[in-house]
Amino acid sequence: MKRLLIMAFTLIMAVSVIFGGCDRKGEESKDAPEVTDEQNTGTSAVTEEKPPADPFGKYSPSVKVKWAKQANPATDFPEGDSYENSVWTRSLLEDMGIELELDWQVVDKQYETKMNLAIASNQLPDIMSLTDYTQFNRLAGADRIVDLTELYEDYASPLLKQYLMEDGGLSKSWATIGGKLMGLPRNGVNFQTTRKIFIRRDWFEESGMDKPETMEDVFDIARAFKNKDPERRYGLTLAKKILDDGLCDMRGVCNAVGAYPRAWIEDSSGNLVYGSVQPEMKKAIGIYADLHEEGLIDPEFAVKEAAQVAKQLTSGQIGISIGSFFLPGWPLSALYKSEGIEWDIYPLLPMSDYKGELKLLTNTPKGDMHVVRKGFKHPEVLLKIMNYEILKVSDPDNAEQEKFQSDENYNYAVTAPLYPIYGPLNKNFKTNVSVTKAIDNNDTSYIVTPQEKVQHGRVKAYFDAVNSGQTPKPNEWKAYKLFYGPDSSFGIQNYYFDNDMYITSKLVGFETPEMSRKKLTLETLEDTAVVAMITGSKPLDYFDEYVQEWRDLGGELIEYEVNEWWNSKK
Amino acid sequence: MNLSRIKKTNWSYYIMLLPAFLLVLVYHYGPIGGLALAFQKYNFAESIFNQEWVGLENFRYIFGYPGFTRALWNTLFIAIMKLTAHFIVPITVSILLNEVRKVYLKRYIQTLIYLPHFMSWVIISSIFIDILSPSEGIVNKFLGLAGIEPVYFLGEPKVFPFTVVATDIWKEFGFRTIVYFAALSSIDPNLYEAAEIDGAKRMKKIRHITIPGIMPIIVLLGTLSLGRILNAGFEQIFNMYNPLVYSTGDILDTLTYRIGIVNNEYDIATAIGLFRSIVSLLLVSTSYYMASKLANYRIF
Repeated sequence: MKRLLIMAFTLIMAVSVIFGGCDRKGEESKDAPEVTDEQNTGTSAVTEEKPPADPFGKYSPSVKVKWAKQANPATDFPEGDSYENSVWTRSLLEDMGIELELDWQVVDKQYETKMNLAIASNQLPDIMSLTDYTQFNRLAGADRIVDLTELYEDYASPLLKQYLMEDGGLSKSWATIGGKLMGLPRNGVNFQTTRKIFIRRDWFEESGMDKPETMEDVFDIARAFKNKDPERRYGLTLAKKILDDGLCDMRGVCNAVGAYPRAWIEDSSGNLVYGSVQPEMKKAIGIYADLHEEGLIDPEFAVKEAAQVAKQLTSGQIGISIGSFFLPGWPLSALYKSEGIEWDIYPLLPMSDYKGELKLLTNTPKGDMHVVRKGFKHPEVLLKIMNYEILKVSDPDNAEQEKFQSDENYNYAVTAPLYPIYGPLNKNFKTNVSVTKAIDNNDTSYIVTPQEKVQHGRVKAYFDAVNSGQTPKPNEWKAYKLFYGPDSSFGIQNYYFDNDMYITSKLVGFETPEMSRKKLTLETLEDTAVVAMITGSKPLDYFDEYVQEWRDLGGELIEYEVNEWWNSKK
Repeated sequence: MNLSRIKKTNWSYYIMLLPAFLLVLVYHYGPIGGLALAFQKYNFAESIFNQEWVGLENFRYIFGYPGFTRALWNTLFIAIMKLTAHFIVPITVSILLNEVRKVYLKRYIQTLIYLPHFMSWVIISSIFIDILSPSEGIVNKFLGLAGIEPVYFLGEPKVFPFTVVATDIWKEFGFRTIVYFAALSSIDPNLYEAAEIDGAKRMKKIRHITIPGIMPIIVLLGTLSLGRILNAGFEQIFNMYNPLVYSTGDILDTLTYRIGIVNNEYDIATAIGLFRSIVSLLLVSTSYYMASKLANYRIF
């Protein structure tokens, strides 16, 4: 017994040491800010002697800046590099005298949580990128971040100002509180997240069907795919995050009947209404309920993450997905690489009985914002870093594309301290136009921006390989699918854009009191109700009951508050 | 004088105890001060020493919070099932294993059954999502051979709590047998020999020697486990639930997580946490009192 007890004790000790160890990093970083502040005080005298603001001025001696990074798990680094030591950190130190010190990094989704904890425990890095308006409004309201109004005028490079103002000052207005610019926002609305239809070409040709003209045609094609191998295949993709998953959600079909889930849209009387509780939504749910009953969607969709659905696409279980622009990059390029499977991209189609205008819902701008901690001695560093990043990535004259944006093997841009980097608004759309023209006319004078150069090179390599009977590389195929011609991802975006087919939530960057308390409960209710109706565990008529419940739980009050705000803005 | 004698003879043991003691102090006693948040309206711009006091407002809020009652019942239902099963299964298994004659077989089984304990729920849940799938999962394939319709273990609200309990038992029962083994090996072998001479068969020996022998441990662990009555296992459910089963799978921990970590309402989340602790404290005290009254057993 003694031995067993000792063993158990040792185990417990071992386990507690392991867990204890996890916190060490956190403790170390607690002491760190003081050190930096001391050093900053040392150098601050130097900056005060230097009155004229220079957007690209080099600090001497160098300035230490603590930052935090939302790490992308898919990012590969060249041998020996990391977020702490990358082409960006080395060049910024050498060219600008800015010494970046990584305070912490966490993977994708956990970034928001970690940032919330950093805010709550008052351990902010010197410069940071926020991911939502709640954080931004709280920090600004608590006077914890620096007012950038004057610094922006003095230090922003002409190119930065030009790019930021390309949307007519819309995104700048989202970052302005009480007349003060409190952060550098991501510019413009992210149009490219609107949905398109991706259909697997070999199965489509095998089925001998005509090109789809309505959403029903797409479902017919899905049916044909399924019937080829009913045991193994499904018709369409769908995942756990039914309303907001760029790979495979129901947003496309919702838009096809005029429903705009999770968005505040103006109704005919000029009031804002919540898209998820409108009658059109019932139609969209009904369509999916029928598809589910017929067996065209995976009955287990409610437990599947996007990554698992991606596997269904690459393993030949599903041949149609209604998703965002990025599908050729992930996961379809993997299938192209392994089996050479081609996909066709179609613009979203309306249901045949839908009489309204077809509009595509963009993602609601979430509040990506670069800010500076109040109390940091060199707040202009934020603007200088962004100036530098723009210079190296987006400036047609100075960009060192292969070194800072991406080369064959690595994507350097995502490792930049401030990301995304500003560039021309909707640059991907323009790239589509110029690459297509350059290839069709065999004339490189259309190619101007750094991005165009890279993508043009890849698309050209794609055609060279095809013409000489070789297999193009996956990243060449990806560039071709994203950028070449009207049937590419961005070709279709341009089609949407030219025909004014976009719609965006009217409620951006603002949260009513009732909303911040109830949003979560209401969204949980939404998910539960929609999934229940699709899987048939609740009849479709439950929709009206769900809408009533939504109103009773606070939806009605939120609607009132939102419209009060909306009318005061008009 | 007494004290100094203890110090002289036992100081090495106190030093060995120190790290554990410090850990408890820092991670268990330290945060108690934070409970003040449950009675405050948390404003993150202010320091934690300078918050507005609101009395029981947060508690009123959570009892009216949509989904709270549901989460409370789900928690009780799942936790009570888990407590019962975790009580019965390890005892049964360790008594049965104790009867296995071949020592090497016993050892192998022991090692095998407590291995799953060391795997994280993140991994185990994705394995279970695969093997419990109604269309491709191996479990439903077997049910199909027996002519039973496929069961959607993780998607059917009525079945979900039982799936949760069963998978949790599978993961943990082996590890929990360790303590019982320790107790079993402390039973004096002379008792068994004496019983044999008196003509006792296996069942008799189990009933009259083995079970009474480990009874103190059974009472001790049973009593202590009652404190976990409102703990249905966050890590497991968080990784296994989905919108289909919110109605029976959403527990206090997942609700607290969504309110506290996702929505940053630390005051509300603290209030729920404190509520749980108070209920647990009451239950532990009651059961301890009962144990000392009925079984004449005292821990302290």
